[in-house]
Amino acid sequence: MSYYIRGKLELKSKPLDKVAILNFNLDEDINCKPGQYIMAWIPNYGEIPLSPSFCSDKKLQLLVEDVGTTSNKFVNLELGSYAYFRGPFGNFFNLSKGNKYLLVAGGTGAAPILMAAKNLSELNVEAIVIYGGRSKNHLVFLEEFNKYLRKVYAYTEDGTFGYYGVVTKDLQSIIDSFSPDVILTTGPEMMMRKVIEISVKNKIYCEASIVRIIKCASGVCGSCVLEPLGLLTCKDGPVFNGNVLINSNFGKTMRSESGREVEIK
Amino acid sequence: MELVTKISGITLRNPFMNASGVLSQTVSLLKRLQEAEVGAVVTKSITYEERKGYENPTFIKINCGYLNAMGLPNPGFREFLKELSLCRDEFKVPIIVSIAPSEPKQAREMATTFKNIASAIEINLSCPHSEKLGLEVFNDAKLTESIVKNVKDGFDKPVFCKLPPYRNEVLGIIDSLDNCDAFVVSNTIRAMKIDIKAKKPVLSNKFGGLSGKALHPISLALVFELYEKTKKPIIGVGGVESWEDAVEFFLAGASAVQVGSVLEKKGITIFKELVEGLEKYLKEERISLEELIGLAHDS
Ligand SMILES: Cc1cc2nc3c(=O)[nH]c(=O)nc-3n(C[C@H](O)[C@H](O)[C@H](O)COP(=O)(O)OP(=O)(O)OC[C@H]3O[C@@H](n4cnc5c(N)ncnc54)[C@H](O)[C@@H]3O)c2cc1C
Ligand SMILES: Cc1cc2nc3c(=O)[nH]c(=O)nc-3n(C[C@H](O)[C@H](O)[C@H](O)COP(=O)(O)O)c2cc1C
Ligand code: FES
Repeated sequence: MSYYIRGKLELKSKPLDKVAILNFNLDEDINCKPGQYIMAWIPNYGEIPLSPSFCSDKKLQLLVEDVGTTSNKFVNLELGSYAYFRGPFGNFFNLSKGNKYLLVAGGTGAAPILMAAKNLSELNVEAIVIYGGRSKNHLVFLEEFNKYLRKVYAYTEDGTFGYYGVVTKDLQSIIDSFSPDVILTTGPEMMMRKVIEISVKNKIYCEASIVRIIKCASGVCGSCVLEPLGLLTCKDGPVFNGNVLINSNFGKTMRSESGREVEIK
Repeated sequence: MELVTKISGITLRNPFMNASGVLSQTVSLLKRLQEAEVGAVVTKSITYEERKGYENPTFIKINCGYLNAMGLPNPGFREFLKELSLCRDEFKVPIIVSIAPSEPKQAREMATTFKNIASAIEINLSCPHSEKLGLEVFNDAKLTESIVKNVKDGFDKPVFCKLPPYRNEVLGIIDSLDNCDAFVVSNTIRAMKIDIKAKKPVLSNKFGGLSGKALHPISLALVFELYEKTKKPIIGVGGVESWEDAVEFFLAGASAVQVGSVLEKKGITIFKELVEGLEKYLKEERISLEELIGLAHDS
């Protein structure tokens, strides 16, 4: 057996210049739960953690944003090319924590929330989503969310689609009218911090899937540390409870590749 | 049973520590180790300048253990010192600072800098995958000797040398390491993994270091042999995944044991398991830890 599971790029769309939705056919099964991640490798370029929007039956869908060397290679991968995957790693969203789920997804972080939406609809759990992005074409999973959920609140920062403003703008009033048991979120860190603050204030159980520098993906090297508790994003996470995050450096600082403390902007 | 032990005059509440490089590059992680009942904490190997480390893949699990080529990522000794200085008082257990110098002057400067923080310095002479560091230093006997002497001159507490698992090379150099106070045995073995479908080495650095299960009998043999060749205390490290593996190291002559990659499998609770397992064993065998150390040797 090969060490990695090989995937062939079968289908690709590029909703934005720097964003691609990639559909791979895998040689073997990887079964990812929503929030879990895989390590995605292109030999001679690198390997990065990605949370799939779909991952079972030898099929894998990824939403990748080009932010550097390896993600750039993924976004520009040509049809028929191979990439290599291992996993799944980490924990996942709790989908049996209540009867009403409010999902909050920002920009290109939406992939694991889409998988959660699909699974919740299969479980017949009532769920709605607030989905925000810079502009209409940034809402790349709009159609899919509409397929799985009875209500999609869309927000764009330039007002080109849905409501005008950021994803957290009407969060409080949506909470008031929907009364969710659970809030799940992914997206830019500052956005998630805001969602968590509002959830905690409303005493609603909340989970967020967060990003730190993943190297070993095994809870050994310490690179992905969430401080001050010394939790490991790669293994204890990437999904954390809002009460843990609100008392942490989440939204304030993280560690760079060398382990230097850097501020989150 | 009493698990308190001493290495070169440093008292440890128990003989278990983390291995350098595992959960040890930030104060928050070292504190988590302290809470997990380690006898001492060992820091990530710190270099003179900041290092980002290598690109991923950097760590993989294979049938007989683990391979890593992290590339010694660390924020550089000044930055690390700053972080550690702020929290020194929160550590009740000894802090062993691992340094990976490439030349004597820098080695001395780093050692001097950690004077008020470290209970001991561990010199990494054995990382098998970094240019001009670790094993490449070790392979130059004169340079090694000079680095160890400079660290000793700049630091008035014990200095440990972390050695590679290569028997002949280690036995060849051991007499010239008189300046060091204890040996840490051993680091990983240079190794490789190739993916047969990608048809390429998996680690971005191609070569890495083998740790875990396969390393245990190799490190163990070297600890056993060194115990007969030197009077200095030895810290055993390599593939300890249970208290039984650790007991083998004590029997071979190690005074303390470090554990690393097992955290992938068992998490940080491994330390509690080691402490409880050793306590129970000592009680059942009616023997003290001191008596256990080196007991596998004749006479
Ligand atoms: C659990 C998890 C799930 C993720 N899911 C997705 C996803 O579905 N889609 C997506 O586009 N991105 C996702 N990311 C982020 C993605 O992993 C990074 O954008 C990617 O690693 C950048 O690598 P690079 O080589 O392209 O960039 P580089 O050139 O290496 O660096 C660019 C920037 O990316 C960040 N980065 C670099 N390496 C890592 C790393 N190993 N881990 C995390 N961040 C890093 C750093 O902030 C860096 O400054 C996820 C991250 C995590 C931790
Ligand atoms: C992820 C990782 C990082 C490591 N970093 C260092 C390091 O910075 N300095 C060092 O001396 N050894 C380092 N090592 C080697 C370990 O300290 C230890 O010697 C080796 O892993 C064998 O022990 P084990 O089998 O219990 O893991 C590292 C090992 C791993 C797995
Ligand atoms: S990435 Fe190494 S501990 Fe999390």
